[in-house]
Amino acid sequence: MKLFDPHIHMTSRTTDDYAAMRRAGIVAVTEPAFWLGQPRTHAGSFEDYFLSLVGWERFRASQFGIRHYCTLGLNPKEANNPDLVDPVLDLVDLYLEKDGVVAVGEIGYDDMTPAEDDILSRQVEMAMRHGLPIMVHTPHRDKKAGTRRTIDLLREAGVPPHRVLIDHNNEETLPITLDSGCWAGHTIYPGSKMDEPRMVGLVQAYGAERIMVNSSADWGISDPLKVPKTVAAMEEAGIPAATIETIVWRNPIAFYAQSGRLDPDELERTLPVDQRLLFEGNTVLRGQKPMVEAALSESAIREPAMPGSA
Amino acid sequence: MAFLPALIAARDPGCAAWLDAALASPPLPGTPAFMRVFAAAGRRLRDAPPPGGDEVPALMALGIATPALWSGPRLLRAALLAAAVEAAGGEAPAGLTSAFRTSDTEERATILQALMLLPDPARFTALAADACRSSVQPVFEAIAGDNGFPAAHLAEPVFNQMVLKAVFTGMPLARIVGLAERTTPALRRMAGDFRSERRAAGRVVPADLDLLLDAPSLDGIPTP
Repeated sequence: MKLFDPHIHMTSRTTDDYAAMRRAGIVAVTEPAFWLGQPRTHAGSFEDYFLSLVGWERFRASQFGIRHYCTLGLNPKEANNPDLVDPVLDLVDLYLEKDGVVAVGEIGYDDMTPAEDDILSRQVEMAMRHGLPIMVHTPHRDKKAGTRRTIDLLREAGVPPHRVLIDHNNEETLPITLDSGCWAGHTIYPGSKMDEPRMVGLVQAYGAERIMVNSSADWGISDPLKVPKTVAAMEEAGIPAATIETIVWRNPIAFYAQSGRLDPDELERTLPVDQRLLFEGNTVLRGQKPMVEAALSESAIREPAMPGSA
Repeated sequence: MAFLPALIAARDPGCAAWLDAALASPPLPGTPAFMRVFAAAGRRLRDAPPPGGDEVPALMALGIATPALWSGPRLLRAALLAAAVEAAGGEAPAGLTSAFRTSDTEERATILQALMLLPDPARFTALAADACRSSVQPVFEAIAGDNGFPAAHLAEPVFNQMVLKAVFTGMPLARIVGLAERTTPALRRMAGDFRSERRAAGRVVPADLDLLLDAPSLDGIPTP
């Protein structure tokens, strides 16, 4: 089964992770722009970050046979710095048109401040203007109220719910999200937001319609293989393969394809690895022999050579 | 604010002389000259005993919630800060924000812990609210814990988020000064929602959440 991780911060991960993800069946990812663990102090830092999301990181993923898409936006954790907001939103507006950008995100609330209201509204307007779907981060604290407030704001702005993915759901926010008509993401984290057994329970209760799972793996304690691990848990619980495939493959494609920049037919074809390629003169190799795959069928994919093993 | 220099002189006359020299013409907070002495102060007075005896109530009267937790370098830095902010007049909020941005973790913690010592501390509310959003736990705890500033000056939404974040990050709520007086129906509703989510997820409910929710409410409105 081919897998799509619709929310993962690969910039913070290693080439070992890319190789392991591909071995586990992940052939496509979406990387939302987020923060770096501490707030950036200059708007220019965002520009280099956006450039890497549409540039080097796409290339790096491709070197391991993984198609990389991204979402761009000013995240709510950094939306409260008045010196940054205007120049960063100008950059978002500019970079949203780049190839590989499949949504505005992750945007939403953190502390639910008036500044966050303003930045969210402005980016919702940008999404509508660029014809892009919206990927929403829901807050850790006061989560139910934050989820409702986000849905209300999107409804008032006139965004059709099928163009919105609301992420980081739990047992109490999922019914709210599904009732709104939006798509519902679930972040499977080691021991916090959601775990595999709880996710199995949610799928048994609600089915597969508009439901996705992701790892949100980043620089913190997280696991880039949580999508395949959740697939295994669902299989073990007897959930039908078609249901699982809807959740981990068809739904992410259907949602992000609304951008017009992700071709579902292309995703059905294997991305051949060619580590002889360079990105602006740079390579992921450190002197190793480049691995080169022909365009193979899914069943014929062999284990990618690990950098350093040549 | 002569008390802090006197307290420093009682511990190390040489250090007091260094402080006098640094404050002969106090550098404005956030300037390179200020940041240099502010950093250098962290390497002085390290072996000094914490405040004790009569010093404790005197420091509490100045606005320090828990003087026994104050190290020698923190006392010295607070003396520098107080003099620099006094000298900065109306430029102080911008200067202190700039100083905070280029400070390391302990320097940031000192600025936050010293806020109540500064003239007209309400001017620094935006800085304090921003610090509540820090993901660096010692910085967050410096504003949220053992500090009279939040209860005195933070608006209700900011204060409530700070309390929830303390629960999330495991900082004991007993360290939040003035929590009982600032507990409102909105805060209890947020805490109640959080407890409900944790129970639905089959996860442990932090004991402090129960304490917050089960405390008798000052306004008589029951917890959801």
